Amino acid sequence: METAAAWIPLAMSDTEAPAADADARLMLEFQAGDLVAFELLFSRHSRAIVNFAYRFVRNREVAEELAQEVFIKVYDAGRNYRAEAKFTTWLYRIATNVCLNEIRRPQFRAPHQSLDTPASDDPDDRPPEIEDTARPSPEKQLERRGLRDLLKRALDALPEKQRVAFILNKYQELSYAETAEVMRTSEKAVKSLIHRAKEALAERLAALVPELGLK
Amino acid sequence: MNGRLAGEEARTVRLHLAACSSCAAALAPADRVELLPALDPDIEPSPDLGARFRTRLQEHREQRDARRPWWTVLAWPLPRQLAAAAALAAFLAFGLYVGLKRENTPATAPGASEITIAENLPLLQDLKVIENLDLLEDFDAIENLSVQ
Repeated sequence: METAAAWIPLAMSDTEAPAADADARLMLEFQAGDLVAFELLFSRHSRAIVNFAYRFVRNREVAEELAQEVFIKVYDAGRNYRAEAKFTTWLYRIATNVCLNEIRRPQFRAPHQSLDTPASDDPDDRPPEIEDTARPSPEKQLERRGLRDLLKRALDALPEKQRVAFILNKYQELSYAETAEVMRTSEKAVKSLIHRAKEALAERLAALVPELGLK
Repeated sequence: MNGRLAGEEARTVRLHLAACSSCAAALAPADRVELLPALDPDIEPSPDLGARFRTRLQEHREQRDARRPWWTVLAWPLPRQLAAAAALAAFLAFGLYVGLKRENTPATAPGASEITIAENLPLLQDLKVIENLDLLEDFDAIENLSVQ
């Protein structure tokens, strides 16, 4: 877990100066020795970071372990923190490095599945009981087919950068600019990564769920 | 959508499109991928995550402090450095005060027991004789006792 992250450095950029970032203020208070400020940051962001990690590892327990690791790194990096970038940008950069390091490990802790393997036994992954309607919504179409699991695996099959860009922008709802800031790349590159990710996902899922009309 | 919306706005639109077949049908095929995150809902972290993290953080701090060299105090935040310096100064001042007080106190007079020992020194030198004297004095009585 301590291996150096590959392509996303932890250093912050100076392209943004969010003086009004409340999280950045809390981080500065923590830097001055206020542990309550750090706990507040944890309670504010732990859910988002657990879910971010979950998109990579698809296992709640591992995702929670990774989220804790992210906040340990935040704790350690506290004294070097400078409020030059938005706090969440910095946080997601650390989280991205932690998650990528995890899935790159040969002994990756979460079980990998291909699109051909049966659906997960995890109760969280099971589609809920649904009512049948004449004109089902996309959500119900997926649930009826029991294919939510396929969606997860299609995402897992994306190349690393496309996956990071797609998760940050579509799941964590960061803007293109924020996603670019986290990934230390340009907005144009992020748009391109997301476009390719969408194409790949549509390609994979179109054949499996024709009702979605992805093609 | 397509990067024009972010945060709560994007989430709201996605959730609506995922649940509304009429609106979803109006999307271009490629844009329907935008709905996928809404079909893959968030998980709720375990209720004890915060408690587990506090324990882990405490362990991490202890391990880190145990292997930290002394000069890392130079990297402490200023308030912490000042507090540590004040504590150290108070400790040294107390030590100095105690040391000076002890130095200024006149040498104490020898205690009564020391005087007694000094006075009886020649007697103590003959201690064996004294010890044996008692024994010798009682010897006859003991001897008589054993005879009886």
